[in-house]
Amino acid sequence: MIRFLLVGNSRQSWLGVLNDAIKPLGELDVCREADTFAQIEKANYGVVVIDAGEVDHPEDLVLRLRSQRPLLRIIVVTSAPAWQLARRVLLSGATDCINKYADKKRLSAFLSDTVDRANSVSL
Amino acid sequence: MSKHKILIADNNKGFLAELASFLKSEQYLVTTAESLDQAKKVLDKKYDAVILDIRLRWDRDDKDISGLMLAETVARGTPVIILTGYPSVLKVRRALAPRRKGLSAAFDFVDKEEVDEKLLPVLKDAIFVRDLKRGIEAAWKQLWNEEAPSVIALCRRHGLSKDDALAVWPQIFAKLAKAPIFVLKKTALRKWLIDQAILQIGAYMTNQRVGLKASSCDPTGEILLNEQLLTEMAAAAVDGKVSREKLIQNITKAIESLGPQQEKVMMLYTFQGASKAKIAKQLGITEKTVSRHVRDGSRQLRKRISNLREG
Repeated sequence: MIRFLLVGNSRQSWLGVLNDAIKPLGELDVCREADTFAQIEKANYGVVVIDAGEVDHPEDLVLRLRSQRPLLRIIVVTSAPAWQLARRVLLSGATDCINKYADKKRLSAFLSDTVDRANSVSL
Repeated sequence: MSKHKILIADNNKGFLAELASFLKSEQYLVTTAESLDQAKKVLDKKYDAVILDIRLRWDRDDKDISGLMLAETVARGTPVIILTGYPSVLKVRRALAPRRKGLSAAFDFVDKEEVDEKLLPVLKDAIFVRDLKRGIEAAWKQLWNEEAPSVIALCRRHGLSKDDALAVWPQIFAKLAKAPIFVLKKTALRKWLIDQAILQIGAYMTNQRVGLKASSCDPTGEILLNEQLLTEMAAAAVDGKVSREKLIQNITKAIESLGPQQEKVMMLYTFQGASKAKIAKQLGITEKTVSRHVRDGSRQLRKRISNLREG
């Protein structure tokens, strides 16, 4: 079972979808942006999901998480997809940047695919 | 003066000629390909960087991603820059998201509308980062020249001398050379370097401190690397009642008052920023035990900080 951490106070309706999407893969915790680094100390998270709409500078958070946890998978979710945001977060080390799908099956498929990916390769 | 070999593939002949001419004026050795087939034919030669349009078959076909697919076949170690007049989230993901082996197909993604201002810096970064990865001395010297002042300033802010800063620098480089590939993307490199500098300064100072007797050491130059403790220290220092030195002295004393194993765990965790797994391996104990020591140790440190705040 994989532990997922959602950063950002996403709306309850989408949180429900995310919870359902994650159920077959593992379990979900939620924290505010300010508590992210304290939270990742508490458990061995495999995936951090960042709600781009709830975080000031998602690319900075991605970079800091990536510096501290090179093997962590980081998924940025957004309800306002823009290629510029996707570029910024991916260049900062995100594993993927996806829409906030309301369809739990689709969301689950994306999450499952991301979990399968190795994110870091040594030079 | 650049003599780097660049391949540009784009089926828009006018754009291709203009871009080639521009890069030649910047002293690059440019090879051009006007179609997917032509690009495939010339790709077996060695290039310092490859610039690929996404729609290499037909500009009006929005399903044409032949350039992206070609990028996935370019030899590892040759940076690819994706160029397109039709940027989208899907295309960025395909180009830049790491795939199963952890590598992305491209180094960066540039909108054709921004070519004038963005392409040249991205191209320079791509070749620079490739040279760093290959361990080319000139690239490392360039990095040193560009970043040394900010790293030395950072060291000075933490109370290190210039000589100490110079001693820390190779350690930062050594770390960089082993770094996962993502940090070598251009946007992340500088921030990551500073982050690593802070970690290495902390580790360096701890090593210096280990060489002295604990009681005689001056902990005022120590750096706490644990995020949670840092946050709490900052909160305690905000009201201005407690100086940074006093806070660190108290944390150091609190750590020294712990049991021998817990002290070792907290030293590694707090001052060296070591992961729990690494500490467990180093001390030959389980991660669970490390977590317990960290939890109890942190509780004691928090108590001491809050006592200070109240006092």
